[in-house]
Amino acid sequence: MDKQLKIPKRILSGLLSSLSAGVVPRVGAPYIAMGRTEEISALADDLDEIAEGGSKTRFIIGKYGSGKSFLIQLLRGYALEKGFVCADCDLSPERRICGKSGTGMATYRELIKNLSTRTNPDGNGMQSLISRWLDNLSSEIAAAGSAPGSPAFEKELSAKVYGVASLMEGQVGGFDFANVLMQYHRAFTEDDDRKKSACLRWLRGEYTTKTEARAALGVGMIIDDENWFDFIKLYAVFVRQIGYTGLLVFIDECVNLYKIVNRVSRESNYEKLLSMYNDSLQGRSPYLGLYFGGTPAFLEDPRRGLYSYEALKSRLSDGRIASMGGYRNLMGPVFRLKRMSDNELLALCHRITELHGLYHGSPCRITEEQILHFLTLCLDRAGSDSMITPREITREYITVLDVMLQHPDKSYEEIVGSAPPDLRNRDQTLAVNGTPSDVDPTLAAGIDVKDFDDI
Amino acid sequence: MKMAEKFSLSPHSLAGQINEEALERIGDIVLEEREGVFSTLPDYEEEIRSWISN
Repeated sequence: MDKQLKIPKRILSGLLSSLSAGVVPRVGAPYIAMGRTEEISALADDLDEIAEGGSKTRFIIGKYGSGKSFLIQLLRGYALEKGFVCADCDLSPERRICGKSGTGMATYRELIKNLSTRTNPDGNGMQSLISRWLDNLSSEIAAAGSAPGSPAFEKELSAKVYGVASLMEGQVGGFDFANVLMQYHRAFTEDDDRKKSACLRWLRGEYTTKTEARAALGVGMIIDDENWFDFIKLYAVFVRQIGYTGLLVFIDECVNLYKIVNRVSRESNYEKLLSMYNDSLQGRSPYLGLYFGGTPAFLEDPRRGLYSYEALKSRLSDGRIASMGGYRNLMGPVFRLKRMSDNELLALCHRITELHGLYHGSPCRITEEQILHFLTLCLDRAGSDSMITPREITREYITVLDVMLQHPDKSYEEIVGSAPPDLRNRDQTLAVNGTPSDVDPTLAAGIDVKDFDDI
Repeated sequence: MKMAEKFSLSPHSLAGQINEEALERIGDIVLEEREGVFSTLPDYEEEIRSWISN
């Protein structure tokens, strides 16, 4: 290995336990990022656009285990470093874009629950976000000479809070949003925990009736299935006003929309998705990025996928030029993930070997030849050219390393099988001596968050 | 809580500032909040101790 990796302990253990369970890690994705440089570069450009007041919607499409969720988490981690606020969630039968019995609100609540900032990367960031904003304002005012607690100080603080809140009053739901922010500010100043909690409940969409919200806060509106996206747009403006770069929303496992059996319900979801997409492209959601992850069936199935909805099909399908010429267009709304190359997979195995050794405090017994043997075994399976996924390889590979660690008396050949695959059969550029031959050195070494800027 | 009061900050702000410093020093956060209670991450107790003693 070229250089000794240094990974914080919690991130390392999270990475290894997620990978061995076949789950995408929520932190530490950059440490195992291999390849996908074109996609990463395009996504990094998105962030610059959003930071300048633009908005973006992307559909990241790939089959199960191909790396969609990984790419999403990679982007999330990078965005947090760049000062964005991120909210992510997976759709499920109980969480949709909209639907009866509160399935749309369940998505909103999950997004808000997972609201993250750089210093709250695991979610639960809303209270912290608002408290830090109010504290920063207080510090600014105090630094300008007003004594904390004095009437002049309170007046100035209220004026500053109102300055931000009033910017939202003109938008749908903005008046009530601003009202709740002002009430939170008062509760914050008066140390009124009950009121603060009521404000947070409202912002999290936990009031289910207007009567309840009116009794607690005197506001006549609640966040519900119909309007929750309007509030996501307000959040984007709000976080920008209080010093963050913008808001990114990641909605994964969109295949759950394709799985909705009832046509009317499925189309309502697609209709809502269309209006989100239109808002994004027509500049009605500044500082907001929307990223959806789904399978090819979710996008292309003509009966139940997005393509079954003509308005979405005409917006999302590849143009004639791109499809006829076979060009890949990473500037369009749809990213189709290609299979990782053999060398990228090899680099991934190398990286996992290194992480495994670091975590367990002793270098793995596996040799370069054996890594290559393992990968060749996986890639030689029937149909692997189109079917093999990084998830499968990673899980199996970690299992091999775990077994080798736990059974020091057993050799690799005894564990994996002694019949060596004929390496010469593969028309690939895998290098026999371990270093991937056509992989960029930065790729083989993994990508650090800070390296994004250089891509 | 007491420490936050001492600095005239909310506990969330103070935790945020400590986490920011930790991100610079060790590349990860060291405090997390669960249901209003802040606690240090057990993985980094050693680092926090040496950080405080220095």
